[in-house]
Amino acid sequence: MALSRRTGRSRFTLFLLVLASITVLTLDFRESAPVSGLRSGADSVFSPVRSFADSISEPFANAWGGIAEYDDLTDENERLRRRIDVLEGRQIGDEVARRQNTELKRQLGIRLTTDIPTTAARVVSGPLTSFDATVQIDRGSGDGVKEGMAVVTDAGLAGRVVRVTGGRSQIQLITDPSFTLGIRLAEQGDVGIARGAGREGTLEVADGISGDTGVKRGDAVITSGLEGSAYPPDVPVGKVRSVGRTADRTEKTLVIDPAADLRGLSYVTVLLCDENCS
Amino acid sequence: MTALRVGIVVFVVIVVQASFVSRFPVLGARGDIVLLVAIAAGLEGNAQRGAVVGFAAGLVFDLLLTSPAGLSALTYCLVAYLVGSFHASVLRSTWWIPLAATVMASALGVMLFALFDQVLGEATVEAGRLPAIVAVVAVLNGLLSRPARWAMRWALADTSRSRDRMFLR
Repeated sequence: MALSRRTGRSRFTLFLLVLASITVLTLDFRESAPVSGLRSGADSVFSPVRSFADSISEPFANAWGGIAEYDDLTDENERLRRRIDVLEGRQIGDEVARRQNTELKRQLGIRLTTDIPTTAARVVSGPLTSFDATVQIDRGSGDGVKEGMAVVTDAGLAGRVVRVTGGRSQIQLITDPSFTLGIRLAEQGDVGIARGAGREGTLEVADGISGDTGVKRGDAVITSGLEGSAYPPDVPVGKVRSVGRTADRTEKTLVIDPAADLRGLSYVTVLLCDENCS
Repeated sequence: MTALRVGIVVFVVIVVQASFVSRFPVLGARGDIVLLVAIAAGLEGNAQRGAVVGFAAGLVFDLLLTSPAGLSALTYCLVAYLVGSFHASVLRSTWWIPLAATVMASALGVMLFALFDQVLGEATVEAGRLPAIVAVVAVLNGLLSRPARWAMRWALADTSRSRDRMFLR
């Protein structure tokens, strides 16, 4: 009798907890204030302790990375050396074109990405679990970083700031499934919305690219920089990996490989522009 | 007092997860010792206590992640409840039963999380990577199951004693 009463009570508790979880999920999907407040409170509590603990674990984590990824690093090193040779050849031509482009934009009064103030940051912590797509950087509100700011590497867009504490910020990578941004095909000029594809480490464009557009594998994709966008225009996003069609075959779908190497992020740059960066 | 001790254990485990466990990926997968705390609570307390600790630990952990808040809480409370129910049904406990339960529950927890993640349209992990994540989480949690159970035994000590007293009466 007592046992069945206890079982009934524990089932009722489980029911309440499942209900509470679903309520929190719903509130979070609606971006409700209580959940945001709790997130920011948790960050404030854990951040100082994590900073201290990270400083202890960092040398060991670096050593582990060197051991666990030795073969990959050797292959990557070889590949990068070959790539540097190719890029150095192109650099001279690009430099001339860039100077002419800058000069023309100045004459036309177009705002340059290089005019946006930036702050360099070091990635101090990677994803917390295998299901997480965020990293932490060692710059926070004290350095002028605010939520929503774009984060780039030398190669291109890496993510955006989603949470900020005094000395640290959390960056959502562009491959996160809840990450969306306006993109433009550099050559064709078509504009669409790209979403992180999460599992594949890519981005996807589900619509917005006309069925007649002659987009192909390897085409460059940049930020659209439309008015009101949080991302400045012409920041490299990546290259087209594959092209498909929507179910009604009127538009094209794209899979994009990010330009920034998101697996080996060490240093990033935060663009200190949180509203209308276009 | 019990809540405070559970809170201390959860806090320490989340810091260890964030600053140590997550920084040592194996086969590209990271361990999840917050799930282990929930499982240990199910083993050392009972199904109800396990579910409550799992929910609380998962919810706090969710607040540090960008995945939907409540997802870990839901997964961990269900897993801890199942572990607690299973452990209560074992008539003669041997040393390997809690270990096997921890390994199995860890694997179940990862798969459940991936399923909920998929249902909510997040799909953070590709299916091909899931076996590696399941294996890493299960093995690591199996290795750490004893210290985790010691920690939860200490945290839930008052509860266990008062429950024993209730049965003795």
